[in-house]
Amino acid sequence: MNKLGSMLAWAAVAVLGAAAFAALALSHGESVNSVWLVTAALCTYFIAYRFYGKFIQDRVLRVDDTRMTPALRHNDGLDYVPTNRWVLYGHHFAAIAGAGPLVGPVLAAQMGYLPGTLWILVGVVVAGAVQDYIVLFTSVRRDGKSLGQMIKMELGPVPGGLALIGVLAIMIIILAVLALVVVKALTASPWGLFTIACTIPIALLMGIYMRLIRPGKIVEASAIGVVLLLASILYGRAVAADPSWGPAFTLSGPALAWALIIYGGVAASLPVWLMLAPRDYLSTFLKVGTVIALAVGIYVVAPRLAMPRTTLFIDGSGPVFSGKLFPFLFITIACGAVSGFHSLISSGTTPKMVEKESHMRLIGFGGMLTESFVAIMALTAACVLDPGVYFAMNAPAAVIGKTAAEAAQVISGWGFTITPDMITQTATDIGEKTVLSRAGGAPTLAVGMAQILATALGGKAMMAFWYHFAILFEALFILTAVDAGTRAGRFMIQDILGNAYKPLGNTEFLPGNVLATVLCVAAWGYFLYQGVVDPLGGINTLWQLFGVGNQMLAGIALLLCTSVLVKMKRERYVWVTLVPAAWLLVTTLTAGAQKILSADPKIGFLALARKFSAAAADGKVLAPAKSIDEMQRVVFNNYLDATVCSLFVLLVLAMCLFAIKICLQALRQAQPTAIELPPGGVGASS
Amino acid sequence: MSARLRHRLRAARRAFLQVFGIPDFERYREHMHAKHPGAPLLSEREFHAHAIDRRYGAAKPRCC
Repeated sequence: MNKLGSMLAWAAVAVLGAAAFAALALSHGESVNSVWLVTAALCTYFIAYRFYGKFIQDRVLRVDDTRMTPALRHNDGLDYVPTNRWVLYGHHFAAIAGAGPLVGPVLAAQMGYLPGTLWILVGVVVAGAVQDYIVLFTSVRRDGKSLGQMIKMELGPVPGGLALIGVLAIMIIILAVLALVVVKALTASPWGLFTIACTIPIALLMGIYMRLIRPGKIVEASAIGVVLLLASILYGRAVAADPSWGPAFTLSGPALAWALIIYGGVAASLPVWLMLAPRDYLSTFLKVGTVIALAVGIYVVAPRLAMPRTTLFIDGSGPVFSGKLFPFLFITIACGAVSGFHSLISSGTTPKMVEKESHMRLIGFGGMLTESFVAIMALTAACVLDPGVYFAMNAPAAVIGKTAAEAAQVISGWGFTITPDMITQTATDIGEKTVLSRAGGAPTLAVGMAQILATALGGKAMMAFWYHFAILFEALFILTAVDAGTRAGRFMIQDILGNAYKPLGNTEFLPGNVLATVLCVAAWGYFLYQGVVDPLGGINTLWQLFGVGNQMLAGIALLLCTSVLVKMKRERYVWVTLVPAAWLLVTTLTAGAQKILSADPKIGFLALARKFSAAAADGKVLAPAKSIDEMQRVVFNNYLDATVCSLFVLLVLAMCLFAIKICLQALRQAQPTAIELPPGGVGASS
Repeated sequence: MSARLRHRLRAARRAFLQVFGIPDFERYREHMHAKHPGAPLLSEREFHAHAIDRRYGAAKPRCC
């Protein structure tokens, strides 16, 4: 394209984006079409990619295509493979996209669609995409080293060790909260539970097929898997209605929690080819397919946003999560805006496959923009729902009661008019007995998706199918994450145990494996169980704990990037990573401090613990606890949550001090001190 | 089928396998022939078993 044409095209994108934002901002009192929201997001991404991404590439990082990448240096046909950039972009996106961008935006929708949208868009451009891109770049220049190794190299061994402990803690919380999302979606839902239970034999069958019957025929095995999955969704309705099977698949929350804990322990002990690999392929296919279907669905159906731009709950009194817009919006929407976990993926397999340094803008920056788009679609799906239905699904029973009549009354009292009939009708439409208090994002998103997809394909009769399809699609990759995460946690725990007693660190040593697996499952299982029996819903507490941890990891990754830029003598451009790092530190430290110290028992862990402990001392039982025993448990758990939160806060403060020290040292040097491999790769270890 | 179309289909198949991280035996075989001629070659069955165990054996955390 010639220069003028290109300028005109980009001007057109800018005008279209501005028009879309205007449509969102200027809609007083009338509902806006969701197409404007999605279009505004897409235009933002294109412009950010073309201009800010290119600025980072050419000025800040000064990528150099004559440098050897790890893929070219080691090209072994297995791990290190120079890969086409579009292919690697797809691969990287499939690796970073999980349940996170689907859950956070749905919870944040309680404040209206605008706060969430703005944070997702600003956050991804300024923080998320920058983090993913620069971590990828840093890793490629260091022969594909992992985040922990790079922190050790560039900041020192103590910060390296601290980062590992932080990653382990965050992972435990992530596993607990993801498992909790599944429990919330499947409690007393025989249809849902049946289809999810079916994924286990289906995965085993696929595993045997692609290992023993037709080795390596993964696409064939997955096609069989998809057909069987669809059959299980269709058949699930009959199972749920069956007088003897229906009750057998109707489990309470605590029973499901135990089932998941046992599943996690067993699944993580099986050979990887038997269940983990087939299920991972299956969930990746479904994930990519569903994301594309949802994008097409939104444009075809063009639903109106029923949720107002902002709701009264920006003041912190919301039923879905407590706390004001600042800082809690910024930790509730983690993935989709910026996710610390991506720094582990960007320094994992992806850097070993990059062919040229100039490809990384598409892969790192572009991959994260795409994940952000998924978050925008999740937000859209939640905001398409009637706000009354949204609050009925997401507010805990302690707030809205246990019947449709009570819930309708409370929610209408907030100004979101809804009748008990509308609530029960929604449940009937999706083939469930109740939709009340199904917090956790998945069910709300599933209803929203079902509404959109059913309008596009199949009409109302298909709503129940699409709802259970959406639940299945989310649960499938959450269960994969639980399996893979438990394995990763086991390795980390063995690493730590190995320091105390050498044989325990040996991953071939069976008692060591078993001990580490049990410790890992027990750790996340404890938080899961605590969340399930928490009458306030659990998601309330755990998701915020996860958000604080995940955003702090992003802060740590951006501090590493900042130190690397300073060590490369690019301090002129240090604001590119310093500004988002500072913002993440400010929001997470404020949120962390409030979660620990706030005098409001709805927000502060210690305040709630003290309130319950004082009442228990007087022999009083406070709702929603039902006995003194339960009171004591609430007290203990809140002290525990406060401890975990303090750990995150101290960790990030320590990392901050180390980064400042290293940056000041580097500033005094006249020459670059970053520890990169030389351009030709001389002296590289292979 | 023209040679060009066959070539395109093969490239598309390859890209598809790579996006989803599916081990590609053909690519491995070509790589070994080009870079390490005469070196012992894994059979197709061994290659797939090895690749899957490697991909998942490292116990990388999945993203949230």
